Amino acid sequence: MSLSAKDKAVVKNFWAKVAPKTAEIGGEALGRMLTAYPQTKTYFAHWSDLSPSSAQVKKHGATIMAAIGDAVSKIDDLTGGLSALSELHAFKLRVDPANFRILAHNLILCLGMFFPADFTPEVHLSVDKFLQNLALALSEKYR
Amino acid sequence: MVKWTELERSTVKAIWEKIDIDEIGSQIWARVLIVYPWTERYFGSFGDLFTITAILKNVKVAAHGRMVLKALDKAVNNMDNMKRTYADLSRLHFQKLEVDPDSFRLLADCITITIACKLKSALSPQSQAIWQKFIYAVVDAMSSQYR
Repeated sequence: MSLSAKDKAVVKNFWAKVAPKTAEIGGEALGRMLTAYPQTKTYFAHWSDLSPSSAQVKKHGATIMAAIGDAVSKIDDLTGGLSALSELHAFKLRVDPANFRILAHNLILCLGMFFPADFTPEVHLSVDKFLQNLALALSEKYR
Repeated sequence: MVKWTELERSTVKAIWEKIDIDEIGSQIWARVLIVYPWTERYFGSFGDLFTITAILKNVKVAAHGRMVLKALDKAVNNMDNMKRTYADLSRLHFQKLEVDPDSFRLLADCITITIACKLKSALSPQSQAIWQKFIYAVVDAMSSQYR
């Protein structure tokens, strides 16, 4: 399900709209993921506070969203653009790629929550595809 | 059988009370068909589903969404008996409608996302977790007769 020119345009356009809130959305999404999918907590056992209000969670969520924003700018070559991050996730963090889908669900939920009027089904479709392709690029170096 | 605490029961009911089935039902079905177009395979009789605009305007899509949400009402009121409540519907979807149960999961996620768009921050992370436990229990019940 590769990204069409239309998908790329929709994602870029939407990301420009949500730019002022991306840090907040990232923190919110990560907090919700840890709450609704407790198995994901296993990757963050080294943090003292895994609640949605945790400063660590909010900061890391913002980091993730910044990286996703960067990926939007590299949307024409996600595999190349995410090569270093893929190595990190594959060899150092060793996150099971199934979790990328879980995080994507929570990101989508938060994007819809913060921008309900802009997050039309059409935008939802392109963003869903984008996050799927991003997850694929992130899993590239795993094996 | 899934166990529910008092908090979980009241949270699910509180969320459900805020949902306008007519408003949300029509939106949800259009969203599923647009975001996961392969689900259109089950709706050959629904007429024009060829463009996003057509899907959004399709009255059969809207009606079907409302019907499905009304059926969800049964789950809200029978949280301790979901498998039995949905046994017939599950069999229907398996044997007659031939629906891939993976579609139930896609629908569940779209329902959750649509509710989040509507309730916004009123759907706290804890409420989201509880709602998802509930909706995945419904997915399980709907998949239970697939054998």
